[in-house]
Amino acid sequence: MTKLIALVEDDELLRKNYADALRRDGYNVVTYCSRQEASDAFNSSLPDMAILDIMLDDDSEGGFEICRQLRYKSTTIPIIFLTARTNDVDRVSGLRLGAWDYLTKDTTTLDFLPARVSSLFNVIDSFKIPTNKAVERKVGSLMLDEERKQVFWKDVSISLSLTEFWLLLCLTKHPGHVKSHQQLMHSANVVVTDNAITAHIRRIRDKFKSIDPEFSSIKSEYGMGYRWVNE
Amino acid sequence: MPKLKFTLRVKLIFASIFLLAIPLSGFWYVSNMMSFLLKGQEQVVSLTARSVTAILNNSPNLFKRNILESVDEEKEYPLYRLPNKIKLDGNKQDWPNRSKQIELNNKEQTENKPLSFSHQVGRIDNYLYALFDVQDKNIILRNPNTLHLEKSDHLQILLRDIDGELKKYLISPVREGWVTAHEMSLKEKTFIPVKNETKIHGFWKNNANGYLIEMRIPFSHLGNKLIFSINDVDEPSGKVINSLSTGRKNKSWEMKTVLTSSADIKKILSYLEIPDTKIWVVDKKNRIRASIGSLDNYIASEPENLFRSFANKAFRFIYEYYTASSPARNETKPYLSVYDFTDLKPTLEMGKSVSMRKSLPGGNTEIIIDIEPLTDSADNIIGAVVVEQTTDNILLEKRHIIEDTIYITLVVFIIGTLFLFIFASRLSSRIRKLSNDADNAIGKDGKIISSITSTDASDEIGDLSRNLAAMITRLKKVADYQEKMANNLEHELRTPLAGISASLINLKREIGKGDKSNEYLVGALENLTKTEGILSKIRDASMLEEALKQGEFEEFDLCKAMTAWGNFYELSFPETSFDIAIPEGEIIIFADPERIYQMMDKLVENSVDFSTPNSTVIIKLIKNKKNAEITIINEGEHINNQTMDQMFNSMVSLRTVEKSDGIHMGLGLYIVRTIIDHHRGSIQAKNIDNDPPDKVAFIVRLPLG
Repeated sequence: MTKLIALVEDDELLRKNYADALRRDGYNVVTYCSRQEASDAFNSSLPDMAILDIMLDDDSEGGFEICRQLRYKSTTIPIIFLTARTNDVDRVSGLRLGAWDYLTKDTTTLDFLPARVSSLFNVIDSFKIPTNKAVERKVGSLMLDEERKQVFWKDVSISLSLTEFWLLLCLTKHPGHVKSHQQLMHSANVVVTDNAITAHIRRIRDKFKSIDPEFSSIKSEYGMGYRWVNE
Repeated sequence: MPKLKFTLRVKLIFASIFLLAIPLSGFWYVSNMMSFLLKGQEQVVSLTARSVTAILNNSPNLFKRNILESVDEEKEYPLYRLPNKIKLDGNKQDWPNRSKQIELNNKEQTENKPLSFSHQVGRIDNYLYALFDVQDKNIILRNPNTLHLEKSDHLQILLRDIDGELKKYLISPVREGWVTAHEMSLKEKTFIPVKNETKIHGFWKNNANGYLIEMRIPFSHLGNKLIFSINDVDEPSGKVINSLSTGRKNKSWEMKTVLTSSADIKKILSYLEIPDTKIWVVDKKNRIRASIGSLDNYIASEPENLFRSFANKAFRFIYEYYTASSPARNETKPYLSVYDFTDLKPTLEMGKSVSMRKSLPGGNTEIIIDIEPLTDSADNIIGAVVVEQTTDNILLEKRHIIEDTIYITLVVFIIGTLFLFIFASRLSSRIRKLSNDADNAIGKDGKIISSITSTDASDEIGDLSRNLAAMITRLKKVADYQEKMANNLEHELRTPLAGISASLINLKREIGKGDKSNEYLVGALENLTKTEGILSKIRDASMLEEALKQGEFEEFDLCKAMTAWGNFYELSFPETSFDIAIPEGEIIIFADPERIYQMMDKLVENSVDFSTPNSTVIIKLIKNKKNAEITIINEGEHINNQTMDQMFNSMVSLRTVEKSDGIHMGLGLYIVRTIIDHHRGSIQAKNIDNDPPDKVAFIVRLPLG
């Protein structure tokens, strides 16, 4: 069945282009240009996925508002945020919303959007079937479920965004190996500056530290990259 | 000698010298007052003299009863005023040379027993002084056991006292020295002492020729008749062999008239008595006929302390300057209650009115003197009236005024200067503080570091400080706004860029792989990406400080790090050769490894870009006492001084050569400096010219962990 994606974006050019790109990939796309419009629509029926611009018509909370509304109606619907600024990334990352994700609106958006859309749909599908233990991987105190994109540290669940999950996956594939910024970027389906990678890693560390203050398994390799260390 | 900065304080000290005008004007005022007062007093004195003269002129019979025209020395004792004070010590040096020689006449002269003496009388204050210089070869003094006063050499005094009574005194000493007179009974041919009259006394001194008697009689004991006689005794038995009187030759026992004072005139004058004023009436022969009042109460100079003497000297100097007068300076003879009769000559001979001032010894008191002629009904000059007055009242006032003036003006001057100085100091320090604040508010590179705290003061400096603070705030606002604008701009640009690239990507996908148009699209997309890259760099640089704060510091070994990085550089820049020197052991710093890596990356990139082709870039790591020091040296053009200051700023680029990817915005060194600041380190760029070819070095110091 063709999935329905709802796209809420106030910039006309972006809205049209993103919608066309997604349709080309085989999805049904319905677009909304304002929070009100989207809100009204979601009152009657929900899409299979929502891609939300955070700032809508000068309302810096627009995207989050819709997200709350959707979450209220469905706990499982995947949501991708379109962010314009880096501090928006922090805000999204802090939203304990499960395996959701964010993407910056820039020249690379359309390059990486498809991967995210399909990954998230896979995550949803994997929730529908019972847990496949084979896909779980244990690395020290860390447990990764690659299908459901879930992470457990010392048996406590940590909610990482999709991007963060991919980064962690990259690090823990070969524990002890140094992964450069380039490698990490590639695995996370992002093209960002080194600074941004550092920020992502910091967010991941912070999330682990909020559960385990002693967490120190992600080590910086003299600034040139990162390495996962089992304690 | 250090150059004297013409600061506010110095200027105000110079200005305060003008405050000296206060004491000077005080002096000027006092001088003028004094002149005025003294003139006034002179006029009063003159008026008094003229009044007295007028009164006396109107008493026509005044002088008639007295013999004024000639002094008959045989019949009269003229009472001259003695010029010096006489000390009764047997020394006749203090007497003027006016003694008259008196000798026995031929009849009375006995052979081999001559007797003569020289003698004069004079007047000092209330005493009649007499001098006897006796030539006597044989001096017989009285036997202390005898009561007979006449049986030795003695001086006899015969006088009529104030009540008209006849009195006889004998001075008959037992020994040399202090002698007193004995009042004798008046019974004829008897020499019985009645009592010892100590008020008539003197000094008897023996000498080679005979003896000297200096003695005095108070006027209270003397009327208007007087005669002395010297009686010579040459044998101890005491018979008077010779007697010599000061009287007339043939009437040796007749007493002479003593002109003490004119009772009539004195009576008139007594109505005119004024304190501190002496009025004399003198006749044509310089004999004082009457006097009233005294100047003896003149106030002795108060002891002068250092301040007073200074004050007085200062005042005198200025007084003379202002009044162009030198009070009594030309007087060679100080006034001493005696007359030099040359002073009276102009009046007595020519009838001139004379006004003068003399100073008393001790320097500070002056006497104002006015002399008016007395005439009879025929306008002949018969005498003069002399009025003397001390200027003590004025002078005492003067002294007090001077002292007060000086005290007050000095105090005012000192306090004034002190206040001015304190005020200047305060002003000066306020301005200096403001100046420092302003200086510190903006860093060397024009970046606004801190703001100025403005004061509440309501004066010009307060206004200035508020203005400066407002200026800095405005500048800061503009700088902040510009930064924000840059951010906003960057943000605003992103959306259209994203839109363009999304459209192009869709177009590309629509066209499909085979179409030639793909080339154009790919080119366009690449350029869009580049553009976006520029924006990202700008954003990263502007948010760097914020981002740094979110980084995590850890302790790591710089030696190991540099080794790893060194390898990386060699790989990244294959056309450049590196000379990397890392010491043995470890250098631990407490830092954010990513940022240090980023810093090194930028520095190395910078050095590589500016190094001359085929040259070596040197990287050296050493450990100092407190710091880790990293030096990166490349061969290349020196950096000029202007650039040195600016090159760590944002958007400053030296590049003349296009970088390979064509993107360069001069952010590298700015990022380097910001990271180093965040780590509390320092960076220094230096030109090296002591070892050709030209080299440029960057030296980074980071504190040890």
